[in-house]
Amino acid sequence: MSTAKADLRSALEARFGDALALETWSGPGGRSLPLAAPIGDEAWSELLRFARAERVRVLPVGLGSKLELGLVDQVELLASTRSDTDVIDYEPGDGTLTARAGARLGRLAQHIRVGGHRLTPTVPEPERTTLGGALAAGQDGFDRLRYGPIRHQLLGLRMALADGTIVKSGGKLVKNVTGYDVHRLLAGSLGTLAVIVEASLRLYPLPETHVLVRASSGSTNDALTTSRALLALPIRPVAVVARNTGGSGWTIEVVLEGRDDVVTWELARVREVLPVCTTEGGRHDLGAPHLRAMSALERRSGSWPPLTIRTRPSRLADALVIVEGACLAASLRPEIATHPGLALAWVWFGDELPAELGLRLDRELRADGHALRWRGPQRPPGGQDPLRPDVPAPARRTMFNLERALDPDGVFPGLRLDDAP
Amino acid sequence: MTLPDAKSLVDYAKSLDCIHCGLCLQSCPTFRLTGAESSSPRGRIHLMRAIGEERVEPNAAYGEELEFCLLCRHCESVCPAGVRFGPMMESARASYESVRPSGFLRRQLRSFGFRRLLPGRIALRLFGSFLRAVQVLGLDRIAFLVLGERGRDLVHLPRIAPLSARRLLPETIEAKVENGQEAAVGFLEGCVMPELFPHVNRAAANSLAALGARVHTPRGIVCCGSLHAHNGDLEGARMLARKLIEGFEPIKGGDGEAAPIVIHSAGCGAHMRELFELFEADDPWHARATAFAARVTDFTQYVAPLLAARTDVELDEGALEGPVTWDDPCHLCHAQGVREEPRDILARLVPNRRVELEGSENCCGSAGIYSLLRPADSRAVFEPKRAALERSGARTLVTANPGCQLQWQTGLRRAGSSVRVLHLAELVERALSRARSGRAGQQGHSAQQDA
Amino acid sequence: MDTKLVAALRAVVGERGLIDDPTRLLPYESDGLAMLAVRPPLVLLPRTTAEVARCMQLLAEYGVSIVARGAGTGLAGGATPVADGVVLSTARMRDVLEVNVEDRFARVQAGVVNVDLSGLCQAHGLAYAPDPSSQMACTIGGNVANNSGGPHCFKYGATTRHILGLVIVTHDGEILDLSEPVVDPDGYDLVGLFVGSEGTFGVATEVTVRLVPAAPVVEVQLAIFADLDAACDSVSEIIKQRLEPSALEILDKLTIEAVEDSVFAAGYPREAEAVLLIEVEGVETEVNGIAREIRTILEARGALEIRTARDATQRKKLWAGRKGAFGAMGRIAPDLYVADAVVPRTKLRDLVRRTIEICRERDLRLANVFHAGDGNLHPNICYDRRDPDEVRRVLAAGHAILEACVEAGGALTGEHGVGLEKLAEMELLFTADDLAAMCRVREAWDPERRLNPGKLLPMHACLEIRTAALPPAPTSLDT
Repeated sequence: MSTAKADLRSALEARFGDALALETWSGPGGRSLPLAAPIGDEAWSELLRFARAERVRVLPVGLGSKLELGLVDQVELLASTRSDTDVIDYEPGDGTLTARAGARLGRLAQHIRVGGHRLTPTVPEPERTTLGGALAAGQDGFDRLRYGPIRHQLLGLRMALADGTIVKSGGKLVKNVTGYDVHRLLAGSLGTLAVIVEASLRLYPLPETHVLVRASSGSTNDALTTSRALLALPIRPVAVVARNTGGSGWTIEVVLEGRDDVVTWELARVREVLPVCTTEGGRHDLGAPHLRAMSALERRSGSWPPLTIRTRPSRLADALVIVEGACLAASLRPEIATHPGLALAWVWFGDELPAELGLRLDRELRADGHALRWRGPQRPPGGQDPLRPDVPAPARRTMFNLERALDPDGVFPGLRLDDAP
Repeated sequence: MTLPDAKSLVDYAKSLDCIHCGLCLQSCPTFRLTGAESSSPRGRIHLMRAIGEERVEPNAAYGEELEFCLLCRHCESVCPAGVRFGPMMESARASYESVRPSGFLRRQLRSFGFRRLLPGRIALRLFGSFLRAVQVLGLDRIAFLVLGERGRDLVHLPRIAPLSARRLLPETIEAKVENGQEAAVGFLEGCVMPELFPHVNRAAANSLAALGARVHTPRGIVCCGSLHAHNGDLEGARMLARKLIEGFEPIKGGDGEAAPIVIHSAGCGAHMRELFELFEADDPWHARATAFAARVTDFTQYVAPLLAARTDVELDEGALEGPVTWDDPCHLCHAQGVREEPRDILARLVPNRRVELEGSENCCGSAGIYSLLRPADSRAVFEPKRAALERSGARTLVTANPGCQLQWQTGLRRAGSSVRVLHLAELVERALSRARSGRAGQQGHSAQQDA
Repeated sequence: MDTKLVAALRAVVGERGLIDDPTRLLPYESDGLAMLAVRPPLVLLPRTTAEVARCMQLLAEYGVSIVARGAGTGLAGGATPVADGVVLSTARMRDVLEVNVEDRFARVQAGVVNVDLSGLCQAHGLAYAPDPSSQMACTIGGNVANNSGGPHCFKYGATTRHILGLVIVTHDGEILDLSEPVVDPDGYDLVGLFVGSEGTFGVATEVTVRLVPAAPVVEVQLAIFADLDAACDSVSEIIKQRLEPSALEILDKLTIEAVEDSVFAAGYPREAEAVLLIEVEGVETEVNGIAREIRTILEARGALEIRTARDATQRKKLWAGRKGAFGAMGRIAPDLYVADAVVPRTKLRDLVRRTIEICRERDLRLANVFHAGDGNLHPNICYDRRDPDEVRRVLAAGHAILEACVEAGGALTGEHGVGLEKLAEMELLFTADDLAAMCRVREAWDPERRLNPGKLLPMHACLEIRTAALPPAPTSLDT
């Protein structure tokens, strides 16, 4: 294995010289892989042609912040967009942005601020998140409630296919139905179908002002009931978040943004539901500490949540009852953060999650009809596999066909669709 | 008979107005029923055009699609290109009638129905009495044995009144004016109205009189010919149109101006407003028909402004039970564009009790003699209307067309519903007579009605 | 068509679910693009997903092609039949399966009509946002196939943003149940990919749609201009200032005249060269603020008059004129060719001018009515199909307009889809590699290419032989 790796490295050097800025990636368990960072369509094209000819499996990555899903175990080479960072086109008069996949979301946000625009998602670590990485992972920001998921922001893509051809899908226009939405297929595909090398996003007006409202709540039930009352208001909040705190209580946070007069009006409505609350706010600036804290919600406790639950809004309480019940029985106090409007919940278990408890949660949540995704080493053995889509077999079969259609030779790692024919 | 040339079988030039956008589809009761494009306005026009282009023969399938149409003209209300589907369909049916393979029995029946029964008062009177006899003897309960599907609804028909209650209107009813000017109007009793709904005729005429009009009902005018025109007998329709014109031309107001012709049957009114469509432009009758058509107005249009000027017309609480709803007759809302006036009248008569009927502009399936010719289809079209009525919670349904009234009464009785079905004129008369008796300081006397 | 197959299909869908009489098949020969006509040998009208699946299994066995059809209001020939394939119509699949007010979604059969969907949830203060101009007739399944737009997509996004789930029957009659409305797809986003695939991936039989809260206050402004350029520039300025109305529509003089002559007469002033229809919605403060700023822009750009309406009836009337515009053109010309190009919103004026020049050069009458806020142009070119030379000039103009738009960074279609109509132009926008990749995706769904064959992708891109281009006269494709 190690000779093969050494061979690959020297083969890459022989073929590309310094052009790929080869580095070594070191992962958990002492694993290390060569990491290439091509710049420009041509370089991507050549790297993939090489990989295909040499039968080297490649995982496209950004800065490698989401490798715990396990795809990295299937490959011999990492190909990073980290150096391919140019802004291709920002058209303030049209409200669209096109950039290379390695561009950091934080820098892009700064870039378009001058023209009075904001982009979404507002992710936990925008300076360390690439555009391509966020797209491939289908990453959310805390502002999703108002602006929608990242796949809805995507206007078009350039992608490098497994055979090295560079193709486009969609375009730079806010409205366009020409051809298939292959870009929608790529969003959230985790780098298993093609490399996203360039993407165009829809932009939004930079709000004049923002405000973060915070209030405490008693039980889980109270927190969810209050959240629903907030969500029923005729306002368009950027986020309504409920998270449990150190003690037994919950905190509810609402973020409003937009025109001054509208935010003032909406704040008054929120206060009707949350008569006792604190507010922070002012001119809109994502660098403000309280908004940074909001956007970092998904990395509470410094790590991605090991368990993500997705369900219907009306069923969120049921899911939390299962989580809290099982954890209480095991004398474990989980940290929970939820977006009740999105019916999304993240759960952290602390340092240790007993496998037995993990399995019980896995079993009970799924039996009750909730979708879940484990992430990282706390996934209990036998628990829902994040690489094996939890969809009916015919849907998995179609996914398998799509994977084979775009990557017939297996240049990229794959989802686990092996029960397909 | 020699086959006419293809383009003359349909109004080819008009068929080109359709741009095939499909916006009419959902308005069409037969499309909603079948989901078949050929049973939609766009599909039927497409077929007519294909006939004109000789891409298809005027075969039985084509004929069936023509006859399946209820001619409700809902599609005209939604057509952005302004295609006038009604006249197109009438002329297509007439031409098809001339080329269709037709059995002896069918020809005899058509000839009897259109040329003998409908235009002749005596025949209609006999028919009414015959129906009454059937009802009195209880034969309607076994009519389906002879008539099949068609006879099944006979038992649900409203009871035919004895001849004494089916008396025709006097030629003139004097205006009940207390002060101010007297107006004159022409009035049409219609063919089946005096047999089935004599009280509605009287209610309409009395209301007009109570609102200050001298009501002239010319003798010898029976049927307006709309049923003929709808069903492919344009020649019969022309014959009746000439009689109609001749009968109404002499009716003038005090100022010598031609008096308005007030029609309380939406189907007749729609036809009479387009009477000129029957005659070629160079036919001298065309000009006379045009002048005639301009005089025609619907009962609701005539009455609404007069009622609006009065403050004393409101129905007594006990007159009607529960909420009241209005069902737009197709030939009132789609063919004549009258929608507001009946609602205004109801708002005045039963303030706060009017509820809207979902899909009130959809056809009820009556469609002239359609319910007789195609009972199963007619019932299928009716069913969603009945369901909507149930959802509305109304206890009284008001309409303004005898066909619709009959269809609702029959259909609701069949379904075991107790919702009352009334003609708007019946409510207007009741309110007016109450107002008058109130003013006269009399109690309990319900004016001259049925005197 | 094989008689055994027809008998087997009849057994599945019943007598009323199958049309094989040549006369009754004739009206299916075109969709909203009447220029193209192919009479299908058979039409199926199934009622349930199970019936669709069974039909498609049988059709797979016999290797027969399938063209799915909603209401047939599409303007790009997406539902034009193929000579040896069946038409599968969803016209009898119109059951509402579930309206979930709490979780704000509805599940309906594919044949449910767009406008009925909105009517359905109105009572609960919710709405289905995408509102194509044909909404009173078009089906939700057809909207899914075309990723349909409409005026309000300016604010709410096209159909794809509102589809939470689908039940799809695949080429071989298998049922893909993706109807559960979870916030994110597990695995690949099959639903997102399927929307806009124009019937080439499968047949959507059930659709789960997102419902949005209806806005409490809605104001429509009608700005009247003596000059089309100024109307276009106003829109560009509104976008540039990042104001967020919910719709921005422009109608030019010829359109105004047609509309005012139609049943949709909306009181647009006939002497105007252009009207700009603007809708602002939200809470009172928001509507007041945005409307005020927009008014300032309109006045600065020389609007002659600005009318506003907040009352529902008045608003509906102003809108009816816009929505009925396409059909109303039937009054000014026997036939109409509607292009559907999109351009960056900074270039509206230039491209609108260019379309006018292109038509003037070819001696054609042009009416412009378009979703200006999205940069979605709809040049409506008048013609008479009986004049072959005019038809040729119209097609040439259509092509030239698309060329100009692509050159300016635009695209071929904003909402109508590619269908048959814009096949040739696909190569203006996409390279052979782009198209080949799309072909591969298509084959993952439909390896035998039996689903809506010959649509959306130029066939030679998929290494097939391309059939005839658009015919010069309407009947020549008829068999």
